[in-house]
Amino acid sequence: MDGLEHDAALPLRCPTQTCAAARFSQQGNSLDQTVIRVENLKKTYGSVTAVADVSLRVEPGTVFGLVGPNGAGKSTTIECIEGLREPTSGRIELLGQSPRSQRRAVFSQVGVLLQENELLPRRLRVHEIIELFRSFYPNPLDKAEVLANCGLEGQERVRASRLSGGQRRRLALALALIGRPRLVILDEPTSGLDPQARYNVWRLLLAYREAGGTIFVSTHYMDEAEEYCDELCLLDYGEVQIQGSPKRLMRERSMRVLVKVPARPELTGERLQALETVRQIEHVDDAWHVYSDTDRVYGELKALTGEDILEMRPARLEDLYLMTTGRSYRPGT
Amino acid sequence: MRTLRQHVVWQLFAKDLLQYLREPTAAFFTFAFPALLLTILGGIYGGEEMPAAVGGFQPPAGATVLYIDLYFPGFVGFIIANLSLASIPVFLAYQRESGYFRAIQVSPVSLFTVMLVRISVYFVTFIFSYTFMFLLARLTLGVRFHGSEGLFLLGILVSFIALGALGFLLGGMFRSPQATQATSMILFFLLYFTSGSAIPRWQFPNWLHTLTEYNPLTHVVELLVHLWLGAPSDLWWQSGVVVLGCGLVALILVPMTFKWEVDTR
Repeated sequence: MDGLEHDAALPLRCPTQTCAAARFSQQGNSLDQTVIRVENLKKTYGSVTAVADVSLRVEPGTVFGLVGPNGAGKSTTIECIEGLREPTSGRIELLGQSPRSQRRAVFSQVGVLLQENELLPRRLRVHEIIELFRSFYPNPLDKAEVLANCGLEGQERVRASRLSGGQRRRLALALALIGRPRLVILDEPTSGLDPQARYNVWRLLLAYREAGGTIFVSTHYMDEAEEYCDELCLLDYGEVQIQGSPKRLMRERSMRVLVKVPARPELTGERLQALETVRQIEHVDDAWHVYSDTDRVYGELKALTGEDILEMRPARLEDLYLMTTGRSYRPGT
Repeated sequence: MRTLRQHVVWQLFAKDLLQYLREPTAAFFTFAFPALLLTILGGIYGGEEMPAAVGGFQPPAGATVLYIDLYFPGFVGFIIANLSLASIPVFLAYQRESGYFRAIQVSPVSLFTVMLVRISVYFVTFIFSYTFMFLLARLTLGVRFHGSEGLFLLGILVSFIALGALGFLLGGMFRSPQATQATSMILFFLLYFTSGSAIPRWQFPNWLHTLTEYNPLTHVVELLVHLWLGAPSDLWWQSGVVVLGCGLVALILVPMTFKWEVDTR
């Protein structure tokens, strides 16, 4: 039995009033198959190693986020997964098949949103582009559903060249979902979108996941990664630095709250780390960033520093990201 | 009931054609510019009667042949060259830069299908352009055909494939659309003005006449003029071989040199 037959029986929950999940219900994931499998991926360009060693697995019905600074090897990894670049060594499978040698079979079940925003045929109207992409798949979404997914109802006759950057991005995303794919690979889907558009894009993607779809997404927005990703992989220097669910990653490092303490000569790292509730510290510009898993750290730090008020806030995934990757610009990025 | 594959091909064809027709520059160079040239250049001497033999071309025995009958088939060579060397490379280069070919690689459609459809679109555009120019020449300048329709059609097909392959070669060779546009325009106008399509080659000085023997468009023009006038094969077979040879070489080189994407690494 293939994935298509499985999915007719997938139980669906309806997260929104418009029952958006039902739009994707005819093709979801078979529940017993790893959707993306990357083993020891290595990619070099001459003497430059873009990806040194990356292994990851994406399970069905999850949102998997790939994050990392520019030049970390993210784009090369995604392009290898999409079959656009041939790995120097290692193994990649999408839905159990090779994205290079079984390209047509793979991409009839996998939707892709590339990073470039200009690839839509600029001289075609919105409805013509939708007609063209619908013709690629045996059971595509209706034109009205595609328009609803990108919020371009009433703009069917507008040429792609007249759409704003955000509208083009939304249309491109809707086209990635047009063939009812089992997996979508999205390269920075919300880049350049305003907050409303970002909200609606994620609402659409979550509905797609509710229907059994799997999402592999790269993003620079850590708030999105923290809120929406079930699993996260932080890539840097061509290698996986950390991998796991965002909540677990933060919990394991006891990063619940962050207190910013002004740096002074007598306030050394050793003194801070000697406090009972302090778990991690980082020197950032003219302050210490002190992380803990309890609010009691605030009182301890006040007592140590003699300050009346210290800045305290919940620790964020972005803090972990910056702590792992460093804060300086990289040469050449 | 169309199959999915037929549906894809039809959609690609229709949307490609729409895109081409909506490109103002392409529409100008395909219809307006040739019509202007035909009216001006064909109108200067087109109505005059051709002597017994001129520039290696012979009118059919006993037939009255006007200069426009000599000019028009060479002009058809210009239309093919215009489409192949001026339009195809630039369109391909811009599509590559936009990432369209990358997008096709991550869809269930093959690049081969996309390219075949693209070639068909250009051929259909040529047919439209040719029909329009023929009607214009027939109605305003009285052009008449003197050869074998089958052979002339074959000559057109061979010329289209040869110059089209050269166009694909140019379109896939350079990194930027700007470089492609500059190179293809220079090449197109150079080949056109020295081919005998714009200015009769028998009016060239000897050195230029000899030099232009190496212009593939010269042979396209000579092949089509001879076939239009119904000349015997010993007058046109050499041009036919040169055109065919150029096409074969270009067809071999295209897959070896074509860049599907802009690689900045």
